[in-house]
Amino acid sequence: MGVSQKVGVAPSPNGVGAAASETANQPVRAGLRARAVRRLPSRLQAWLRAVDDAAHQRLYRPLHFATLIRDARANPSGPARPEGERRQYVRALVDWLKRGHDAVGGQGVAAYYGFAEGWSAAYPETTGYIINTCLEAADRLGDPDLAARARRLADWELEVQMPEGAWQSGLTTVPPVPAVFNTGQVIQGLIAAHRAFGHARYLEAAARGGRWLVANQDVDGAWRRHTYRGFANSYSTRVAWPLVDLARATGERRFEEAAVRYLEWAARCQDESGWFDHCSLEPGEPALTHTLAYTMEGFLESSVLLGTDRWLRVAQRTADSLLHRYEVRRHLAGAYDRGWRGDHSFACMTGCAQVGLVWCRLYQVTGDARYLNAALKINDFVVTFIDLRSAWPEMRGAVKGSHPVWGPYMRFRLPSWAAKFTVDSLLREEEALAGLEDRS
Amino acid sequence: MTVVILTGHPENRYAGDVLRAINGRGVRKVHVVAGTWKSGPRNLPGLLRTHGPSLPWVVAKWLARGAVRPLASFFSRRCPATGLAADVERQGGRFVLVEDPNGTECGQILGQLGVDILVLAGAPIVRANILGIPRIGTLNAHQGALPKYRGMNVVEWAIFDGSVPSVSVHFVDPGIDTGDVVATEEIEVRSTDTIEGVRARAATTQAHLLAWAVGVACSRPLPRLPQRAAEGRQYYVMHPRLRRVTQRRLAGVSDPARASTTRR
Repeated sequence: MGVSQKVGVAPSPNGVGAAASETANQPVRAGLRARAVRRLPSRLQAWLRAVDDAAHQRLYRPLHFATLIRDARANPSGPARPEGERRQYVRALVDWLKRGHDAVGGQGVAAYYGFAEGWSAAYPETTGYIINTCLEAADRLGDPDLAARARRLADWELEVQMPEGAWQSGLTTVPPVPAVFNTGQVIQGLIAAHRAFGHARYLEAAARGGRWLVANQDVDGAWRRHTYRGFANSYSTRVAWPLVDLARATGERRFEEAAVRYLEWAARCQDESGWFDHCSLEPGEPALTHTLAYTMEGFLESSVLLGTDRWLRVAQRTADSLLHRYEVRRHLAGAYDRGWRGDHSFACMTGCAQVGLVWCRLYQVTGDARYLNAALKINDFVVTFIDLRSAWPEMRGAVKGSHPVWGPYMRFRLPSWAAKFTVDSLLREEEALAGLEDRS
Repeated sequence: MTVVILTGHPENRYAGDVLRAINGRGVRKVHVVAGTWKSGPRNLPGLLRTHGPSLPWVVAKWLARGAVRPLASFFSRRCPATGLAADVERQGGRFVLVEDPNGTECGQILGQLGVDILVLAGAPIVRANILGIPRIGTLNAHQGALPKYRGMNVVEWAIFDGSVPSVSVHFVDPGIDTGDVVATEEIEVRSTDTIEGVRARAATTQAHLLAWAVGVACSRPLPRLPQRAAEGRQYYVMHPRLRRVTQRRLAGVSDPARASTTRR
């Protein structure tokens, strides 16, 4: 998710392919230009800003322009028409993730490909949970290269671990500041690496991260220190889930106790309709489907690991609410506010893939086929916008942050975590359908 | 007893089936109110929300249809009434076209007709302003056993679950498929059936079940079995992948299931 990336204001990336840095004169010239623009009529100002933005996003490049035109013609609530088989999409997505890995010289995975910046620098948080995806895809696709990459990613995570045990927020180009959410996601990847390769060093590093998380938890179970924007959020259930898993892997009960304390706190943020308070990235703003899905996923997977229905019901309440909205409208809003009023001007593609993943898992856990039905539809929607035949490798197999690509979430960017969650959702869907075929 | 069938389209085939089934029960002078209304928002922000950047294409399609419609209307005025309208007029009933089945115009017409029972046949979701008009109530037939199967594609969902598909006739309340149940009838299923075949059989059955309910209402109060909201599930349009699984499950049906009826 990338705390600094989520709102599309990333620290200036200097990774491979990044835009050239501004010269010393440029800010002065920009200031003069801004003052000159302010004197113009407001409508002209808006047009000039749009032209300026288009130039900044390099929309003159055929790759970017083609995406823009494709999105301008697409109907967000129209019928989804995937052009390929699911396996073709999984293959294209993991190949795109491999390009993101190569773009940063094999040191982590690039956070995103941006129209303005090109490939970004590596992102420890999302690299963490991409390890899980690589390992599962390696197994399903029979691709040993993916497993080898997962190992290199895990080794890289050990290199960038902070002395206190945490992992940093943001990209590797910003000064490292420890972050709760990011640490949770890396722990998840390292546990998977430990299980796959059997090396104790992965588990030891994850346990150090876990101890740091426990030490920084407040008495009521919430995390307030080292969080994005410094407020307690309810989407850190996706930190609680790796902690429960860490307790299973290490036998240290305190990880599970900390996770349950947090789950208790986060469950109190939910209302009867399934809405979660403190689920948005900025206080008081609508919650993206991305963060809502994190919250559901955390509750759901913790419930599976802990063997209790209590957290499952919490996840289901939100999942059911989203499912009804999606089925009635045939479109999931990019963000919802309290009272479930949706912003349908865009779709958060990461959120769509994650919600599809949660619905697939809910089908597997509860056996209610309505979840699988909705997951199939939303996966159709997500893959419809994946270009399988693009001549540009940056676009082939990528998932946009928003649909349309100029939507507010990761505007004009193709995040690696969107590709990761789409792979996860498609693999889970494949598993669920295989189970169904066996029964019929 | 004044019976009115409300349908969303003047050429709705199912409304014709319901009309003929009711006439077959000896109930004459059944009126039909048909909408010519198109669903969807009519203001610019609503249209933008619904269609997004593709709005210009949608508008172009509407304009093209708008150019064809006057021609169709010109020729239809020169021809005698056909289909549903002709069937209604043959039985001495009135056939009325309204722009919006939920609009005030429709409400006024139903009030003038003094409707006792309103029967929904291919009508859009009817709002409380219309539901309050009939003296006895509004009846609808649903292709699923209520309260278990509410919503869309419930014939498919029932087969998918391994249940016997059914149809129900129920009173309509402001919820969706939540009103009191009048009668339920199972649909016979064979291993050689297709989903479309079972759905067609369900449509025929529901027209006859509706006609039976109207016939009963003419002589005595209809039985009403209240639904409990927690008992049922809301289903939605089935994805083609699950539909294929359903078709395979349908082929695996061993014996022709004997249909049973619950008519009180």
